[in-house]
Amino acid sequence: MNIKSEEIKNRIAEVLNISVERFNDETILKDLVTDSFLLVEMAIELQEDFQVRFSQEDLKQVVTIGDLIFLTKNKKSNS
Amino acid sequence: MPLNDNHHYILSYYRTSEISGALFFGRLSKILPPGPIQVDMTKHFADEAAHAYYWTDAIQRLGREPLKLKDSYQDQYNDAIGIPTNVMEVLAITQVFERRVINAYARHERVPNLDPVVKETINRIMGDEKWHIEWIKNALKSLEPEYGKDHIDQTIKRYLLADKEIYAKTMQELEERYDDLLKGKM
Repeated sequence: MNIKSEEIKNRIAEVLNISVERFNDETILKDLVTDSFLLVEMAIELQEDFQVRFSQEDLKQVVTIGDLIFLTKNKKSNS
Repeated sequence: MPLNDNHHYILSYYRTSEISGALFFGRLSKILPPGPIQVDMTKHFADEAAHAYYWTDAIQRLGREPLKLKDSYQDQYNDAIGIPTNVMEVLAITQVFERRVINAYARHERVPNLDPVVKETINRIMGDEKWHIEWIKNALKSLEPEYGKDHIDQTIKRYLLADKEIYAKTMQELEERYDDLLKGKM
């Protein structure tokens, strides 16, 4: 089953407690999330919600919100 | 016996580490799905918070106030290892860290003429720490069907290596303070 980008964006906004208007695909994740634990929380939440599995190697490649959305969708379509 | 500066620093360091641990496990407890890991993680969080209280109380009973220290040992991990990306990696990193904690407390217990307040606090904490190792070991075992035993073993091995490096790089000051304590320089 495919996931819509909007669903992932909404979930990211919920975890970070910000509005979806605050970021777009080009937003650098580390500019948006300065607390490293929040990144852990976000990674775990996305995996739980969308039933996908990230590795540390996967997340090393993630720089922007767009990368994270792509990774989540890609993992889901391959699962 | 009042605490000297060296001992004061180490006990304050323990307190800061326990607080960091409590905050880490507290946040994890909030996001984990219901199940045995959520239950044990929540107990682990409560233990770490209690330990922070024990050290705060011990330092005050020994006539000092806790030092406000910026970083704990855990804070070094994310930079060096990268953030854990799933529950298995969180548990693996925690297992490695908990072993480090038990070793530190066991070493501290061997300090000659250790103040009874410190001894009693370490003994009180050690029972919990042994349970922490045990529940994490069982939780990792329960995740084997999902992640694979080999992958979990490799992850722990990777974190053990990283832990050694972090310890060697960042803990020189604490090491010197320990050495002084063990030589009886209270």
